[in-house]
Amino acid sequence: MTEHSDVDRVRVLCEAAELPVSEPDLEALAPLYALISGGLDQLATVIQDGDTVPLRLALEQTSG
Amino acid sequence: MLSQYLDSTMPSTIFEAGRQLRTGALTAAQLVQHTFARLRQHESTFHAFISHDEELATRTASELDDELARGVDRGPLHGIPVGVKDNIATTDFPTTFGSRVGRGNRPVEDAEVVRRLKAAGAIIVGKNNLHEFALGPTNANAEYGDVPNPWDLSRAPGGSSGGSAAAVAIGEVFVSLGTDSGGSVRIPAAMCGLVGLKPTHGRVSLRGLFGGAPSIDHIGPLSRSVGDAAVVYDAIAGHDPRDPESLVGSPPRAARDLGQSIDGVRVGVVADRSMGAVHEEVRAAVELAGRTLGRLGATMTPISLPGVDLGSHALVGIAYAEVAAVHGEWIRTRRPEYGSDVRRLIDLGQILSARHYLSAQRSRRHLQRCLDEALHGHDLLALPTVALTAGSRDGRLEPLEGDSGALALFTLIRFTGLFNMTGYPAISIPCGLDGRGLPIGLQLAGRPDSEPLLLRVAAAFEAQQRFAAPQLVQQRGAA
Repeated sequence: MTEHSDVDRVRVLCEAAELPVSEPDLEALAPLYALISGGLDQLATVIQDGDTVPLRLALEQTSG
Repeated sequence: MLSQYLDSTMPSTIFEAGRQLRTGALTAAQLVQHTFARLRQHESTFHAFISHDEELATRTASELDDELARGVDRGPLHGIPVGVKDNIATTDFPTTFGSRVGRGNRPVEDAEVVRRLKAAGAIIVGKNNLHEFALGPTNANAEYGDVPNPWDLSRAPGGSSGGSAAAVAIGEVFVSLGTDSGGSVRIPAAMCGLVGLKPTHGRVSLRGLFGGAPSIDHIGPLSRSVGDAAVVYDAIAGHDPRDPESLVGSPPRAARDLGQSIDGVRVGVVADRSMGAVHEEVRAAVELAGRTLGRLGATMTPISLPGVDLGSHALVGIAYAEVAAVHGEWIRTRRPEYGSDVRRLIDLGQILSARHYLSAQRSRRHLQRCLDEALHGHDLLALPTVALTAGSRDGRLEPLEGDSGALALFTLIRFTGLFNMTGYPAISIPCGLDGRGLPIGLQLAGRPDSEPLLLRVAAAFEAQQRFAAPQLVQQRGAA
């Protein structure tokens, strides 16, 4: 079951990218986007915690 | 069942064909005749080729036969009919990318791998079918015909190099060049009972490959034997100054090491669920393969490979974002010409953010560290190629315990994508059949430039295992 919020979010992103995506295509794209972007968001946390100096820390150091 | 498509009247390996070519028992022209006889017989079922040219192949064969008669021998591929996946540029054939978008596209220059194959004396008989733009695993292709799995026509051959796999499995050609951005050589090799090699990233030129994600793209052979994969690797590997991804220096030679002992080779076997769910029959086959390698003298150690489970997300994030960039203009102006599944993936790449792409790219160092830790104290790893055997032609996979809700693509690339993200070489070889008689693939992977070792261990395993591709079994029986 696709969340309405996922479909709405993908609709906004497609409109911003000027993609002429039909309503059925949006319904199919939304769960795929949620899965991939969710995994990549999770990955960002893993990588930032363990592999690199977070950008925000570098900014704090240079701005201080 | 595959056996009904086999033909034992012709040699099944390049080595045997080469021997007969050089004793005069066979000519390249006869090999080409055989190839096109099989195409006429089977293409209406398999659609393994998008284009082919009998006249050109016959003329080339005749020239190569004349060369051999004059004592000019270009090496193991001299006079051998081969296929090339149709997303690799060829001047002799259209290059369609398996898409209506590419119909009629005629490159003005051969891909570097094609140039090398021709220089080595291989006869390119045609271009193999693929999942549209190599962006999917089923090889269902509305434009050029669906490719079924020769072992069970109700199943997919794996992809995206499914046409290459089918053509090799049913003996239309000895080998075919495939492309692999997440497993697209190794997955169809596993599902069709073949050998599939993904070389070290940068060792085989990508110039002329229409892929779109060059940092994870690879070109490699699908073949019926390890020896055939080795001779093709030796022919196509090497520095290409016109490919920015190409490694400088000479690649290690692979074929000459075949047949040497594997005594003392240290192998870490990943036969647990640390990389995610795997079917019990596949897990058991890999474990059994590990015991076989142990009997051959390798030192086997069970290991886990944790921390790589999000690698599939990262690979897909990179692939779709980069592919979307390549297709940016076409997907707007020629949108209706794309298949709906491929169009959706390109749309996905268009709406992923730079932050997502950056996360995916940055994960590569993490994945490499995990892989290096797993390889610490080992020369290579043994693991499944795919968690399951071939699924249905519409892309559905058998439900896998512990894998509910996973995207089918993620299930398929779970064990292969890691080596695209790191660029480390990997090979899939047949290691058994499941309860339905479908092939299971064993994947061997090592450090960069370990192709000679991978192929040597694979060849030792191939020579000892009870299971082998039926054509090899027939040949052994006749020997």
